[in-house]
Order: sequence, then structure tokens, then C-alpha cells
Amino acid sequence: MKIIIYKTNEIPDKLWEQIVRGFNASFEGHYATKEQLRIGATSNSLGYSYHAVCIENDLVIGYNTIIPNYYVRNGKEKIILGLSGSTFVLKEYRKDIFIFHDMYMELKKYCAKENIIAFLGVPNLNSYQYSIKFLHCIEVFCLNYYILPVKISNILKARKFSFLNILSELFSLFLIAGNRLLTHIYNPTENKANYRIEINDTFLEKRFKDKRYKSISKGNIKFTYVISNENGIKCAYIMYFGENGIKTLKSLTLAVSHIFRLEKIDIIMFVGTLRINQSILIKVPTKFQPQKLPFTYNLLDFNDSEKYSDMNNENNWNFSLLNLDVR
Amino acid sequence: MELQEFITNFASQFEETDPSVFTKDTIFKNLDEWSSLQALSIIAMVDEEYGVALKGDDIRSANTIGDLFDIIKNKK
Repeated sequence: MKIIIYKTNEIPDKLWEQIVRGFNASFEGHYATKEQLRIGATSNSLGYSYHAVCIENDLVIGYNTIIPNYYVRNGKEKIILGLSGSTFVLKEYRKDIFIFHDMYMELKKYCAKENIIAFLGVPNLNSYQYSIKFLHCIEVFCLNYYILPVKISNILKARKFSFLNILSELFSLFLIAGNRLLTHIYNPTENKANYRIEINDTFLEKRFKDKRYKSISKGNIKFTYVISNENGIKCAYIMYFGENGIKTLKSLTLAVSHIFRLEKIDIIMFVGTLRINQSILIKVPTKFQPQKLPFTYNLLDFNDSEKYSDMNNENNWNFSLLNLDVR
Repeated sequence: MELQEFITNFASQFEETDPSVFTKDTIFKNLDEWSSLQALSIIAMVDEEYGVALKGDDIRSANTIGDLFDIIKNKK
């Protein structure tokens, strides 16, 4: 068994075929093509990702990707942080519980030489304990959900009470109209976090080049969303909103208003940190969240622990679906 | 900390494997039921019952239940 590290453009075509096969065998119901995996790996600040490929007897048995992005630290320092994702180990090899661990550690060694400071992650329920106990990732906080329930009867799947849809649509309309009026005189901006992804037009173009994303530009305001069917509920996820790269109430209101007017959806959702005075989206209490989304980090050089100890503070992070599409 | 008690506690983390399979010399990584979830539940059990924080490397370096018992004993 050997582990080879590649940058995206270095992976031979024959290996890609095996990776796609392994990915689709491991993620039933999440079918991906080679092109989709490639787009996912190149839609970032650097234009490529790092991949650990575990091979036994010419067969790809495991795969893990680190997607690097530039982050701004304390408003001035530019650093690279990598996001771990697209991981699989073929079912018949999962008895060796260290395959993922070994791929991750090889990526840590390789990426440290590439000046990446830390790996970030949002492990799912299955890999959360593994990330903490085996990979020694540190959990900082859980991502929050913010929603605007447009058609509440559809969301609750209570078709008998379809009149509730009218009430919730009126409520949404009232919130949107109120906030649009408010933003003429009051347009609060987000509190800038110590760690935030570096946003510029080139990054946004790369990040949202996949056709499923809808990106809208209105003057200085830009927003991106994606429509998704979640168990029969038509959901619009706001991936990004901002005015000159900064989250504002005006840009959020415009995004919500646009989606409400033009898309036939049941719910509008934002997942991540939202440090802005706003009253258009409702924060979902923890017990009603569809799934726990723990945010973790893992420093590549242990000697950096003191320098980057501020990573332990939830308030220092700006992290949302823009950083990682964890839907 | 008794070996037999540890073997019983270890075996109780497995739902489908016959308890008689578990002895000091059992190579636990060869058990059909062995997976990362089992490893995590062993780590949790050792933490709870013996107050010892096992690491991934400890599981890796142990082959048999007896090996793991010795590691825990040395950490206590």
C-alpha cells in the first residue's frame, strides 16, 4: 500500500477514472462525474487542490482532498488554509482504520512545505469522532443555520394546512419590505473576523464557476445562491452576499428579496457565521438544526500553536458555505 | 486493573461477535466487526472505565487485546 500526493493537474487520467468510481461507490446518492470533481478541486484561490491517493495493487482504495484558499488574518496578513473533503476509503478496506489517518498525515507533511498553516474541516456525523480522536482536529464551534420559512406548510409537510403558506408568505413579504425600507437609512456591516477568506472578483468567479450556482451582481452588491431539493422541500441556500466584499444588511436583503420574487422555493437558508445586525433571517435553535456542522482546525506545525491560538475563538472566524459547500 | 475484567469490557463493545472469541491473544483488528467506530468506542470505554486517554497510535501499535491491556496499564 502506498500513498501518493498530487496537485489536481498532476493526477493522471487513468487515476481519475478510479477516483470517480471509488467516490461514487462510497457516496451512494451523490453521483459525481470526473468534471464535477475537477471543478470542485480547482474552484479556489490557487486554482488547484492537493490530493492524497492511496493505492494497493494498482487499485485506488482511498482518497482525500485538501482545498487551499487564501485567508486574511487580522486584516493584513495573508495566509493559506486548506479544507479537507471528498474523502473515501473503499468499503472492503475500511477494516484498516488508519488509511484515512495516513492520507491526512501525508497531506499535512506535504502541505506544510507548501506554506499552508492549517487544515479546516466540517466533519459529518460519521467522521466527527474520528477527526477529533485520530486526526487530533480541534473543534471550535458549530455552524449556525439561518432561515426564512416562505411556505411553512410545505416545510412541515402539512398539506392539509396549506393556508399557512399564505400566512408565511405574507410574513416573509412583510420582513423583506420592512428591511428594504430600513436599509435606506440603516445599513449595518458585519464585524470583521480575524480569519476570513480573501474575497475578490477573481475568487468569486472561480469559486462559483459550477453552473448550479446563480450569481447576481447589482452595482456594488453581489450575491450567489443555489437551489436544492431537500427531501421534497425546495430550498434556496445563500452561498455568498456582500457589498464590495463585505457582508451588509442591504446585500442580504437584496439577495433574499431576489430569491423570494424569482424562485419558487419553500425556504431560504444561510449556513455559517452571520455577525451582522439583521432581522430578515431567523436563527434556528440548535435542537431544530437538521444536522450538526462542527467546524474544526488542525495546525500543520505544532510549533505554531501559540501564534495561532486565536483560532480557538469562535468569534475570530468568518466561515460559511462560501468557504465550503457542506450541504 | 484486571486482565479478565478488561477483556470483558472490551468484548462488550462488540454487538455481533461471540464473547467467547475474546481472549488475551485475540488479534482484534482481524475481527469481522472491527471498524473505526469500534476503535472509537474502545477509546471511550477505556477513558470511562480506567481514566486513560488512548490515542490512535496506541490502537495502531497493539495487535492483541493483551497488548492493549499492557499499554493502558503503563499509562495509568
